[in-house]
Amino acid sequence: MPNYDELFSVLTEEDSPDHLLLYTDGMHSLSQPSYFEFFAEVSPVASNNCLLVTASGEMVILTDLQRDVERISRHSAVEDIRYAPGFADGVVELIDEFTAGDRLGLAGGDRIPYRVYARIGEHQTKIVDMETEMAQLTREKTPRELEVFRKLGEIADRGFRALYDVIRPGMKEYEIAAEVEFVMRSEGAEDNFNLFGSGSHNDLLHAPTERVIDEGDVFLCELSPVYEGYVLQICRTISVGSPDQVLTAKYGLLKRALAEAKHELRPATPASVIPDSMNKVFREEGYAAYCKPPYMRTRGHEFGFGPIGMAITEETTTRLHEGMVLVIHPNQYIPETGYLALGDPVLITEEGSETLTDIEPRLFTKEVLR
Amino acid sequence: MKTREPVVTRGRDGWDQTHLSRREFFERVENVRTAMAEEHLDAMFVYGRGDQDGHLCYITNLINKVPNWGLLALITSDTVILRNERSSRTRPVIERGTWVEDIRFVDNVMADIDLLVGDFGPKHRLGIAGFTSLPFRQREIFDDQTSDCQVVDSDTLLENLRKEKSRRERDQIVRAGRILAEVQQAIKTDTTTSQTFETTLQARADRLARLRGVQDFRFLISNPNRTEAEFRPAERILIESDDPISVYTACRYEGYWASCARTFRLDGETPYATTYPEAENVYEGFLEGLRQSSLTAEAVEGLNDLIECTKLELDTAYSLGGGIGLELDERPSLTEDQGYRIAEGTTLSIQLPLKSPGQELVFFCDTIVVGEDGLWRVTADS
Repeated sequence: MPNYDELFSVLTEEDSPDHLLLYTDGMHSLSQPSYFEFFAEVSPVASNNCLLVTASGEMVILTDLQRDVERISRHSAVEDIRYAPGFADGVVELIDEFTAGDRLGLAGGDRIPYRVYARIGEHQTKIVDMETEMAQLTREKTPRELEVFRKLGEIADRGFRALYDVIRPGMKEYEIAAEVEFVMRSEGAEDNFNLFGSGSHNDLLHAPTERVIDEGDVFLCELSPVYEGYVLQICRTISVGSPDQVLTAKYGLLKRALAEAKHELRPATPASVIPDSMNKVFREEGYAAYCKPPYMRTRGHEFGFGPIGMAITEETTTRLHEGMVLVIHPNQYIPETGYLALGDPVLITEEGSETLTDIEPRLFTKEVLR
Repeated sequence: MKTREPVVTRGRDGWDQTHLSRREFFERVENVRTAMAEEHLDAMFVYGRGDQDGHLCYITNLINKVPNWGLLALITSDTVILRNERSSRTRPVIERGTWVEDIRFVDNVMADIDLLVGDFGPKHRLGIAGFTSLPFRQREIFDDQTSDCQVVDSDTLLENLRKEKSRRERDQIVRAGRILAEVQQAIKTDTTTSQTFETTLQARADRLARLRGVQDFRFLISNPNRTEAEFRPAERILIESDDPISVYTACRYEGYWASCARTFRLDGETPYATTYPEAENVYEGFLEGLRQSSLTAEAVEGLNDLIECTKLELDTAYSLGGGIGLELDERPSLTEDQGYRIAEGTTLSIQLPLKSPGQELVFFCDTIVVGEDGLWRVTADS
């Protein structure tokens, strides 16, 4: 269960607003966390949902989908759950019912529809952005969250093994995606942000297409299962048929880059040590010019509740801390081979790090049977 | 019916260009321009995000692979410009998925919007469509940059253009419907054990639909023996063979949606031995009423007459459905738009939620296409 005492305490601090509205439009975003989902402990279906929190500890959920009320009630510790077909008016009525002040803290406001925001404004309520405060509250991973991330690691492992088992010439990328998704959903994943790339020389990873796999393809995958609102990611490369020596040699750079980065992981170390150590490997081999977009994106991301979070670059000043969950990936375009993918999810521990998946960090070869 | 949207639309995104030819694209743009001229609009801004992307898809043939990000199209008398939000990963798909030539990739569709609206002033009328799904901060930017202009809500303009589906569009819906019929049949019969988890049932259905080439697939389930009776996302809950479950599925194929729902038991027996046959008769009567009616109001009135002769009642938590096409829920609504004429080109997702005095819920949903030969239930059981 979320720490509601911490949530209430945010509203009792000096200069804090009188109440807090956590809004979600129900869309699962990998770029923005849903604090509604975190504190309500449920992923809503409706297009408009909010959790109103008062400093005195009252909590009310409002949704504009009547049939979701009972399900939310079954999952959430919040007891007061209401249906409001006119959502904007419903929010204002809640504010009137529960509050005496005129300042409303808001998180999730980036996607709030204009008519709702305007209606609150008409009510002469001053809106105070509370995204930073909510990010701070949800930053520390609880034991339960770490369990979820370990489960995600298992799901990602099974997803990759399924992909490796099914891939063969003649399959289309989206068919591979269907088979991988089947396995990951059967293991409990509620969604997946899967990206692929296939061809003899890839430029980037993309959503699955109609492209037909052929012998000689370099198949890239970034599997990102979603479980209980959390995301984890693994990146691998499969050679369809025997890889040539150049591919094997260049993939060795990614393996070395990953190993070098993992060696540096420990609490208090700046996260920039990850791209620093990876880029050093590529630069030493003459690829300095390729250590920037569009030849690579980032060297990793932090994972929190919901989104693929902070991108890790050489400019990242955030320090690693125990309990932090990241994916570190030296995914890289190399002119001789095209884009290659390798990435592992890791948990920062007291001593260093723990890899959350079991799949070996190597170039996989799928034999083509004739 | 409202469902959760995926983080990324990862089904097949191929586009058979005969199904939105260059000729048809230009015809659509000219139709929009003609309608704009009638309304004295100098420009039209069309926004699409998530499931509310029908207007945008109608013009550009695009669906956003990451539903949370938006697309914005600008149409004037001589230009069509498309702005894509944060879509570097989907750039190749977007560039080859539309006939629009002027495509711009931006972090925020409203950033630097002054570059697009700078030439418009107090004498200009700007139409906006699809803006209900536009987040407020972006709407504020747009309003600020167009404060000199007259801004006119133009959703109805595009709704009217999209209302009657062409033969080709109906064919696309039929193809989506056939896939769903196969999926529904498979999940009713393809059970190797007497029990299965809801999430496993969904995983099977999802897999089959994706292998058939859908872009997007949705799944809801109702199991009053295990949880609340209402439709909801699948959970890791074991379905017993005699549970009366209702499964709602929807799929999108090359842009067009179909939807279908059935109530059944995994052991193949008919659920609710008395209620179900009675409900089935009412549903068949409703379908026949739609065939015979020229207005939706007539069909709904006929339905109410049928229900009155039984011990059943409508579950008012659900609508009777409405239009379907580039969006899952389009106008007309069978409940609200009673005067809608059923004619060639009409495509509907009809729903019939019936419950007995004992609160046993039997739910039917089918996709209906009206062609030159009349009404066709494209998701009928095979």
